[in-house]
Amino acid sequence: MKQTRVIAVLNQKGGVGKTTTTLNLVHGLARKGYDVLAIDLDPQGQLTASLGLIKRDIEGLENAMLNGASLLSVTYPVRENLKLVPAGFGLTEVEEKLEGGSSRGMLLKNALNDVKGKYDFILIDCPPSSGLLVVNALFAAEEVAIPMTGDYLALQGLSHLMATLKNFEKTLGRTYRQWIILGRFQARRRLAQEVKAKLKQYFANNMLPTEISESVLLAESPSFGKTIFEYKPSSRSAQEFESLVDDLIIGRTY
Amino acid sequence: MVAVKKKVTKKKAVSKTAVKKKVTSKKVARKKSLVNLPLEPKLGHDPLAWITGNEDNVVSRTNIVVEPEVDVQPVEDETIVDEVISHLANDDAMVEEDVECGTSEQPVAHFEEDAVIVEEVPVNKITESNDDKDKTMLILPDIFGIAQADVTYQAIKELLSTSDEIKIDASVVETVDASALQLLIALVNECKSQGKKISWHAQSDKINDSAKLLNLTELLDL
Repeated sequence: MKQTRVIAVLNQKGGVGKTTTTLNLVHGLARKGYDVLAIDLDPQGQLTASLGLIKRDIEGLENAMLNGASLLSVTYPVRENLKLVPAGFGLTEVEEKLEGGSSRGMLLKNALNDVKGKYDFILIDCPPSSGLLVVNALFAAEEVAIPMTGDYLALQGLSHLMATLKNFEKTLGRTYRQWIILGRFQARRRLAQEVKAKLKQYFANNMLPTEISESVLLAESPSFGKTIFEYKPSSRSAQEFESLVDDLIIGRTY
Repeated sequence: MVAVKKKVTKKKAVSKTAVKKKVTSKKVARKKSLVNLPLEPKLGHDPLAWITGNEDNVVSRTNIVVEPEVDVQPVEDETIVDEVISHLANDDAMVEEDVECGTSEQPVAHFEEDAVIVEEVPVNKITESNDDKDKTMLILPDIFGIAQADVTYQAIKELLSTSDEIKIDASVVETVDASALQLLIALVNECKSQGKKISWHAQSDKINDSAKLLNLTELLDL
């Protein structure tokens, strides 16, 4: 029985690199020998596609959340040590079909009971919203990884997200271990440096010290269904993700 | 003939090198002067300030201080999961979203269910201290630059016409530019010429550093 770390990769702002971060973190962890489960909670299914699964009618998470199927039945091996629960065709309908009641926020947590203890890490790639799917991720996770970019609107989004998390922590009576990941970073931009300084000011104990630089390679790799470790293993981006994976494993912060 | 040609070529080469050196030294000098200039911050508003409780007032970009005049009672803790779900699902978790601005001349705050509506405060509000009894205080905005110069100038004019003493509170100033310093020097000079007392209630590191850099500390009585 393993001590599973369940991490929601979350930020309601789009374009901050949630899927790219999840994609390369899960593969980076798997390459180090950890048993990893990636869950694609975004109805757009981009994590699924980025890992090379482009079959459109594949059954996925919605089957476990809506129809009570076992999560094991929708878990697919995608790399050595790495398995994926794809978004599935009907995940968009989850928010519409679910009727009221507090149990609708617990569906993912309950589904994970089947697999918890079998993996070292479960990473949940959340959609860019704060709807019911994200609520499910927050109920299921004990840790939250927040990808951020070096601009003002991302900082404002983070303010929003922190308020949401505080509300949630108050309700659940527990706190999340939070990891802030600075991605798409352009070190030569002064604004990016100021945003980084601001993040360090408020979240020094939560901010992973490795920043991921903006890179065209990271944008290209998903179209080939490859992670950065497969697409350009000797690139700076691959090295940065390697280091970020270490940060996450040992909980290294500033 | 060949010797003359060589001489001319050599002269041209020498003059080209001299021009190149001149340009390079100019570039270096410009670079040095840029290094010494205080850099304008690229990040204005700090949306995370509420986390440490430092955001007592909502300060707009135009430096109009918006503050409720009545004590805001905290909304009762939401402890029911359903409420949180609907709250989040409606995407209404923004902390600041409960505050809206109206257009009335007088600032009025009132409760309407859960929302606090604070109507717009007149521009001259920035001249007043939080303690309304002290009518001599000039509170400088956090971002004090050319965009704020006009509003601050109006505030100074009003203070000069109503008070024999002016205290400057620069405690929140995080950014200052040359036009702002110019305005402060004009204020100090005007007070001296009118025989009015002027003093610093609270100084700002940013103003002090910039004044020091530009050799203005004496002029500003710092």
